[in-house]
Amino acid sequence: MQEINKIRNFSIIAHIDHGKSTLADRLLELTDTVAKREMEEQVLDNMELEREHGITIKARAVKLNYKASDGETYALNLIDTPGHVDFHYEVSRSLAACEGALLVVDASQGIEAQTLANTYLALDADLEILPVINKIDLPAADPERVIHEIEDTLGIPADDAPRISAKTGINVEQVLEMVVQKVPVPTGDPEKPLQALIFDSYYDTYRGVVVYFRIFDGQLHCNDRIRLISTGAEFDTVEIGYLRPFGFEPTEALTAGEVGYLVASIKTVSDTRVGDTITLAERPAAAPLPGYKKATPMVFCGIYCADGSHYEDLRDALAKLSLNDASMTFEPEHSMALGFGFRCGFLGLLHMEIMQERIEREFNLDLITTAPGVIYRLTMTDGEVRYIDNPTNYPSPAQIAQAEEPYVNADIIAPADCVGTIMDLCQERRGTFKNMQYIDEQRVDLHYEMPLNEIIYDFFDTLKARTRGYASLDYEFSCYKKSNLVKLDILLNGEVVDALSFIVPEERSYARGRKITEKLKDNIPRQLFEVPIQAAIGSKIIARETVKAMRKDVLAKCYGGDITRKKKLLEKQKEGKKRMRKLGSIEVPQEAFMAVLKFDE
Amino acid sequence: MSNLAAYLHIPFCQQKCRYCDFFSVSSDELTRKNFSAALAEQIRNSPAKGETLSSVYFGGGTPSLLSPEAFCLIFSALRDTFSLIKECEITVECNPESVNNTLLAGLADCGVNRLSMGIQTFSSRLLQVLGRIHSAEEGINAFYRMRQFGFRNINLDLITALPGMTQDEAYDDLETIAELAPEHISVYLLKIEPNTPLGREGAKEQPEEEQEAYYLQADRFFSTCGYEHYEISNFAKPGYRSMHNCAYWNGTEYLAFGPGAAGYYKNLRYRIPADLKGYLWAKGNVAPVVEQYLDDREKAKEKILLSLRTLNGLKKQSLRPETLALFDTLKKNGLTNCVEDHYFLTPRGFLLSNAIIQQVLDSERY
Repeated sequence: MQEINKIRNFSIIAHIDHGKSTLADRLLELTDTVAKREMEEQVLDNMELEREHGITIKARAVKLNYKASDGETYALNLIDTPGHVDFHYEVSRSLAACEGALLVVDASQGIEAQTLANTYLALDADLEILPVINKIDLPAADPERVIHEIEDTLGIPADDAPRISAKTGINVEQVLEMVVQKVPVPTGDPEKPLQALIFDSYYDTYRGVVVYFRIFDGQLHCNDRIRLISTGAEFDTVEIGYLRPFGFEPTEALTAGEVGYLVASIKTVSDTRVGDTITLAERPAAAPLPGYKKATPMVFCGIYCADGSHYEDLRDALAKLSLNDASMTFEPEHSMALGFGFRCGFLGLLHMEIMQERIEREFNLDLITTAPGVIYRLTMTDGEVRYIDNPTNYPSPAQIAQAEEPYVNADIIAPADCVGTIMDLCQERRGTFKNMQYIDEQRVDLHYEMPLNEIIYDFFDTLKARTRGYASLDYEFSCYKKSNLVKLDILLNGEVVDALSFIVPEERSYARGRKITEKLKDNIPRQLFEVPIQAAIGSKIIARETVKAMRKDVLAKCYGGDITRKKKLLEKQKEGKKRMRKLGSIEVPQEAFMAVLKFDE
Repeated sequence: MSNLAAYLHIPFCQQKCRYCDFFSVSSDELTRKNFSAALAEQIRNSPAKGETLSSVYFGGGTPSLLSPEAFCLIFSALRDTFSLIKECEITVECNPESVNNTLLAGLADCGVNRLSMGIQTFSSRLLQVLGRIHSAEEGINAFYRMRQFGFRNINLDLITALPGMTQDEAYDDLETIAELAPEHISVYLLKIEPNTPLGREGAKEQPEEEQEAYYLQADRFFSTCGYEHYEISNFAKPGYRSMHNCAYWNGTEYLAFGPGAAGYYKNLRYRIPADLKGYLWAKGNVAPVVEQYLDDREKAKEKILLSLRTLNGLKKQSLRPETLALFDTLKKNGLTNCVEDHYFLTPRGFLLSNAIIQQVLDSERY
């Protein structure tokens, strides 16, 4: 147990690529939490995918023991946060467990869209915000300008912000001193009934659910019987302790202000919800801590196994992943074309891609996913209001009195000379200009209201491409707005492929219908016979392409009766077809489904 | 006990053709002599000793590079070890440049009753592209010489859809072949393998549409001339289907002799290692490499795969309802046909046989 005034709980927030994970690594190294030789780059990002994407997907926590210049040893609990726009929810979870946040800003790039968004989250959580200027070793670094930006745009004093290079280690020590001096000491009473906030949890095959929490009041001992307030479920803890970079450090007791983990033979995925409050069964707290705003999925798609017989495995995978990530939703659905699968909800496109990749890698499943869509609000002619997240369930136009789609407030920060391009792009994507502010002479902050549906179709990639990679984007749901929508069906060989149906604004339907049919034509290999591809609204065909018939696929010669060789070639061909989905007599590769999502201009 | 076939691989070529990726090497007379002795030895030690053969096929390589004496030696081994039925089909593959009177007389003496010659094309330009070492004229002369020596069952090999070939050139080839009127014709679409001179220099096969046109042209032309297109690449006058080829398609067992040869005996698909030095050193007493044991399921699968290459096709009664539906769809698209209770591929279907076989195996759940 740690004396409460020797504890500091803090997060690092930053725009993606501003060096948050590198700083975390350096802090670990400086506190000897990780010996240098064990130092694998970006220790906190220990998910394989995170390393590859260079981003932090899931919050991670670690306790650092730091001997400060006052001679005292402090327990610094670093709770890592993701920086991407999709993961606001995870950020707010981490922040709720802290008293302070390091705001890392790249000395050459300055404030970006997610710098703003994350700062607002931290302010909402009432945290002490401590700016850190990173990457001062870069030739383009301009710490003074960035400090002014922080002060002018965010209104946070930054004059004495450490100017560091997390990469080379310059001045990183100052960051630790600042944490000790400026992050508020946790408040909390060890004598009160236990109130601990679950900010993360993790399923381990051998231990069951491992819960990460922050104690606000009270104490937790090993072998205590705990109760989760929202579900009422009770468990006997079998192990509690601190989170260390390479695993767990068991201890006897944890007290107010501390961050730790517990293992309590929790087997059911649904029993521990992130945001729930842990208390003691014997002496329960009267009320739970304020949880977090529930994360609402914004982007939906159907997920199916390439091999239908793995449906059960897919369900298990989703159940396990949703334990760690409450922001993903899933429910069973059935498609004529793809069989049994799940309609899944995600925070955004990146979130969706990452979850798909995790399912494929961690559970070794081959997936087929349908085009992502948003959730539409329909008022029916009889006054009933329906929310539709699956184009297949979109009712016939005659039954709909009014259709609405979700809009977001988009915040784009970019070089001033890109304003024209950005405005054109937002216009194309049905955006409404709201206002624009200059951050300094070179950079502007643009605000738009846009349909979410436009954002999920490659908006960010296009934005990046058109601004030479300089623009950054953040967005937040604003409201539902009336829209003129139609359902676009795709027919292969005269039959509707339900998994390829879309909802689009009517004025876009022709262009999109044409594009989809073209894309499909390019991505569906030649079949044994000609296959017409059509796009239709109701019974009206609005676009048509044809996949030509294959003309030759033969191994003419069977030299000296070498039949084994022939069979091997056939096997090889079959292997290549594994990711194909049979729709009637047509074989459609996964790429064709994916291609429908991507529209290059 | 049904009869067997025997395949003998003669892995020698005077010069390797530029499209060929099969096992063959250059050789001197001594090597060829030692090889014949080793081959005879392998035959004499065959575990299938005493079986009855209904066809014997010398393939290569270039079997016609062997001397008449070598053939004598090999044939006495064959006749000592096996009994050959009276109508046994005995084929020797020849190349135009190595066909001469002595050889033909020797082959006739040994009882060879069928010759197969790689003519490939009659265009001297394209012969050069293929790296053939004979002229069109030599090919034609060799054919007539075979006739003079009394051979009444001759196959000519043709390769079409060559790089840079025109439809007219292809048509000329067909006409010239028709004038020679062999009993049997094999027509292949040129396949460019990566590990051949043609493949390495980046030669491209003709586009699918062109290949289809060449193939269908050959089909129509030879059908009009009275040949039956009985297998993907094979055409025969009535009564002249190659018994040896048919053995492959109808599941008859066949023995393998010579390095690189493939065989099928007692449910095993096996191969003699393609290692000439080892073969000579061991005097033909090399252990075959077993490639696959065929259980009943594998045999049934092979039956589908092999039968669909021929006009025999598949019996309706043996198929699942899904497969029958598939065949009906294919029929509507002109890829299969149905006579009485048999489904078989049309020439256009032959051209797509891989994809079709794949789908049939799928719907038959193999």
